[in-house]
Amino acid sequence: MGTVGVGEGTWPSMRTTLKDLGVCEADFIRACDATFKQGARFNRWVDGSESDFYYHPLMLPAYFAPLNSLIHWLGCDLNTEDLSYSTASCYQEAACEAGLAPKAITTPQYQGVLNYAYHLDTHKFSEFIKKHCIETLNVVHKVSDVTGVRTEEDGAISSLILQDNTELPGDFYIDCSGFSGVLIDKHFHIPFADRSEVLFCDRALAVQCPYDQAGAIASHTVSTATGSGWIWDIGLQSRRGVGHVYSSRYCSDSDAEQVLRRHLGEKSRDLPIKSIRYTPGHRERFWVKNCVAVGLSAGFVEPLEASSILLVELSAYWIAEKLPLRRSELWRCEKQFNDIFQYRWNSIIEFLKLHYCLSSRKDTPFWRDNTSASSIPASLIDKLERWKEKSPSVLDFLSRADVFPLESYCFVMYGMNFKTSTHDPGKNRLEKIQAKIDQYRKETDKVLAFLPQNRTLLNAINEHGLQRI
Amino acid sequence: MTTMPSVEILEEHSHRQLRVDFSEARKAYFHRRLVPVVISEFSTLMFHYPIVLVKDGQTGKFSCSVLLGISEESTLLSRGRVDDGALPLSIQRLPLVAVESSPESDPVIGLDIDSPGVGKGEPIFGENATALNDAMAALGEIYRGREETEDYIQNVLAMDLVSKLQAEVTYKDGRKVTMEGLYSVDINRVARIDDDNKRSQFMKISRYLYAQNFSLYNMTRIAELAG
Repeated sequence: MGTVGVGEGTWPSMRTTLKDLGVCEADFIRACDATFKQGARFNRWVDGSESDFYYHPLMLPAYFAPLNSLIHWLGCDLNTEDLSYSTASCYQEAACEAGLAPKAITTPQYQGVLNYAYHLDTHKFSEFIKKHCIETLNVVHKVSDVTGVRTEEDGAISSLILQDNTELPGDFYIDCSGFSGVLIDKHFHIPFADRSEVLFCDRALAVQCPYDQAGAIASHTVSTATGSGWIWDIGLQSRRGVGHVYSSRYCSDSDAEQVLRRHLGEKSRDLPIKSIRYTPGHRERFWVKNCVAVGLSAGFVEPLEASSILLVELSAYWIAEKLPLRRSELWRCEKQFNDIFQYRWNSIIEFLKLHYCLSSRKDTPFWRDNTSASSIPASLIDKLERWKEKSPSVLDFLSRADVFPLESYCFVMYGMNFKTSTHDPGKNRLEKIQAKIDQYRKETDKVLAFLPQNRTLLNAINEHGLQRI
Repeated sequence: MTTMPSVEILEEHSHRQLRVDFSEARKAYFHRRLVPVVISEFSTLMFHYPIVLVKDGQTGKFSCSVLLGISEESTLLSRGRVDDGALPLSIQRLPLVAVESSPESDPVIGLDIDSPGVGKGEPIFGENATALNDAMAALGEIYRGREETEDYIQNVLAMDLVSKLQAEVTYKDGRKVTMEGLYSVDINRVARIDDDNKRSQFMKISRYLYAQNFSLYNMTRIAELAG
């Protein structure tokens, strides 16, 4: 089974996952060409102009005042520098713009001065994890193709028939067979929920770009909107991973390639491009009897917020935490897992749609249709209607299954100039907010002065490693 | 800001006329907050200073140091709280330095000619013979102790005995200063060592470990500097 190799961005949860697996962070960084990711910079998503950008950083915003008051301050005369929501409330944006690392060489492994995730080479990462599982965690790894499935009376899988005609019995099966869905699709025939009516992108062109020289490495993902999709740009240690995600309904493959090559410039002319086709969506159910689909076999949507690898982590954690002692209890897991992950897929699709539907771009049919109410989930329309009248609250995010928290919604919504009706908190309060923001910006300078350049730190880690404490 | 010292290789012929006041030279370090040490000194230093672990700002690697004060303005040495007999080797060797020309060959003895003690006092190869010998002996002990000190650090890290030192000092005016970046050994974790190999490693380094742990009583002396 090959690695698709599109998702090169992760969530901060990856730090916990690797730590729990007993991986040394410096070994991982060296082996996987990994770099630090502190968020995403969205270019040309709001109005499509050259200067249009906003950030979705990984750090939580600082608290200066209730959200209503802060939003009011952002729109009032006291905001003389016209600070955006993320610039005013989170210094991670400044760290990214300056190409800084989220930590210093003296910071212990898996800890950060600023919150961070990773960019990584997925091929190297899968080899690294495989080696760790086999050599350190004593996982028995057998490579073969599944040619058949034997079942029990109740339909549960009793064993897999492999290509060499051997039989592999087991109590529980995790289908990680990628898009082919060997068990969840080919055996159980669980229908696929096509969500392309909400998320239009269904193709990707990926290219690996060498650096011109060993210069700065961006510590954020750059996502640049195009006429019919968007281009990701991810800086690894030895190369950049760049790709164009687009909708085949609105753009031909050759036009999409042209857009990508134009974005990369003349130097990309001879670089080979890998094409990926997918249907955005997920299985209607993920867990059946004694089998659960994890990863691409469960579903896939565009990697705008690195949700694919996150769902793998969340699924693995869920299974490890909840797998019952007795097989007779599996049906309870089946129901609970399916309910929770159905909710999660919906919330991811909703959050990704938020990036599109708030845009004021009308320059192409892709953008016009993306902002049309008919393509927006009713649940999202309902939330946006509420948040037009009153800023979002933590009380809107009470489910522990929520994937994107209030803070993520705020970064995207207010980064995209979403308008919320606010009441004037009064001159005194606004001046207090002003003073707090001024103080925060002074602290920002101190923190940034302490942090090294992203590449400088990565070079130091490659040479000296990171301490455990 | 630390500047690179101007170093000359010490030679009897060319430095015969050079005068050095060793006592003055040592004072150059009296305002340092941290001074590196090797484990062979622990048994002496433990009665006078906290022996801590600190990270190098370029590599993140741990090294052993004694903590002299909360800030460079006020230290145990600048306030005269420690006798000359208890100076760390890194101060005793001043103004001598070890000069390494290549990783394969032994270092040679150099002289920091920017040291405040150089150009004063007695001729270095005359009346000062004892002081020179003492400084050379200190330099030699540092050089010989480097590797075993690194081994010690690797061992305490491997045994998970290192912990962050939580140190906050309150000044008379109520101002509080948290001392960041200091680590020490946590003797309470010794009981957790359940591996036979690690236990035998522990036995080999236990006297240094207990000395370092004992030295933390001197944190009160550091705190008194705030008074």
